[in-house]
Amino acid sequence: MHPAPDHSPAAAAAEHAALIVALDAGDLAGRERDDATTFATTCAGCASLLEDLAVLRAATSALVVTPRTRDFRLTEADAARLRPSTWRSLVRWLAAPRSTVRPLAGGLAALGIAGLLLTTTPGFFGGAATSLSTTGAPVVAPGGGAEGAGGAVGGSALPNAASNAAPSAAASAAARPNGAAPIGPTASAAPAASPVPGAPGTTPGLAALPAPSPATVAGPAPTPIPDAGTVAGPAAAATASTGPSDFSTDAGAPTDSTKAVPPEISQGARSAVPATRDQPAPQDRTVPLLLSLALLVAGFGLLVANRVLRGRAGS
Amino acid sequence: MDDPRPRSPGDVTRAAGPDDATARRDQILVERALAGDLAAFNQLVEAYQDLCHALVARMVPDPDQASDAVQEAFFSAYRNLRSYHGPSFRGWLTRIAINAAMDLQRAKKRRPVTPYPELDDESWQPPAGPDADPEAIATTGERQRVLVAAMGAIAPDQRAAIVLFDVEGYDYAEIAAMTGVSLGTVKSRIHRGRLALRGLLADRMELFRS
Repeated sequence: MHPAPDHSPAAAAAEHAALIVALDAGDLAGRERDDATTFATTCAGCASLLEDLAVLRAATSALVVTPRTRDFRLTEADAARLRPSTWRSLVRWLAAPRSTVRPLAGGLAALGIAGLLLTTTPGFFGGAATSLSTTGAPVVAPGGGAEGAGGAVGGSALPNAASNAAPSAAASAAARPNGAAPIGPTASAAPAASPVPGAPGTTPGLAALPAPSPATVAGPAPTPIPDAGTVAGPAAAATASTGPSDFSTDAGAPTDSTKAVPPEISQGARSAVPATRDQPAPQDRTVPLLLSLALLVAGFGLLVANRVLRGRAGS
Repeated sequence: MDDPRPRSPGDVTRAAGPDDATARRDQILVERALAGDLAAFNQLVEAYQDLCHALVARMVPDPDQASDAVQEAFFSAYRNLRSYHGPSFRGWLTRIAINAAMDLQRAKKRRPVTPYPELDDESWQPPAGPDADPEAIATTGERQRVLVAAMGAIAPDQRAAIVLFDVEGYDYAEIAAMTGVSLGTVKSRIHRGRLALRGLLADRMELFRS
């Protein structure tokens, strides 16, 4: 929607005045110049304006200023104060009205606030493990290098569930010099009532703990399987849990952890253990939290410094 | 250069294109100043302080503010001397002075100013030659007083553009480069400023026609 053209006398006079002043400055050409010249010859007001503009232009160009009353030469103190230094450059940068201080400070503060929100919101960082592990998705549990080796391979939930199922045993296995887990009668004494992973009617995930059944433990199955994460079926997992006692390679460590469940731990206790270890570790959030706080403080500090120094310069 | 009297308009026009001897002298003084010779920089100050003061005093109505702006311009020039790469020290310094005057007026826009009270004093008259007519001197003084008052009443941007165009003799493109605005904006400021001056002085035009 275009505004209606203004045909009032005031608007016409303003338009004529603009043409006349442009004519006086020599900025017109072609038809505009002809129109302005016509106005200047036919309109008394336009002619008067043109004459006044010429007079004023001459008077302005002849404008005399008062003599200076100050000597602007620099003293040694001035020079010392003005010589570039790192600190002065920084202060000048902070106090400059059109420098990059404000955008930079805003960006830092925004990053800091976002970081604080992310680190303090449940579900991020360590909290993510809680939500994922309950669904049986691959999770690399913290604190167990051997467990991580098994859980990261193949994306299968089976070895991870196994790792989650026996954390204390895995930790103890990892703590041993050669990574070997106790087997034999102690391991074979694990509760036989635990469901076999992958068996019909069993639920994958934490409930499908690969606790070795007495049958699998008692079997010879001397073939070591380096990576339990590659094992697709429960039988293979059971086989892996029955590895030789001197199996001490790093790849075998996850397998050892599956059979290292202390016999005194009941299934209920085993099910309860992952819940406690899924709590986010405090040290996981410390670094991003501190980083976010540092960004926030830096951003607000820059803003305050810019404001204070500009105010001081303005006064 | 120690003569504090203002230069005639002809002396301060056409800042661009200094002669080679002046340019060479300025370059030598700049190099010495960059090496730490304060006396060399002060020679440059002596050479251009009248020019800068004459320019800034026309742009800034308040005399104290004008002097502050000129001093700040020389401070800024000394501080940023390493950023000068030629070809004209005069043009470089003029740009700094214009920016200092504009910045100062923006910073102290709301502060009331008294535009050159010495012009209100009847005892002050512009410098004149020995054979000047007393009546003409009085008329010129009154004209100056009225014109300075009117210049102080228009917008600072318009005043700066008019001074640079009418007094200093820069063209549109040079003013646009100095003030950091488009060429059309420069034209518009000059046109509007002249119309504003004419509106302010409409009832005193006989003084100028005479």
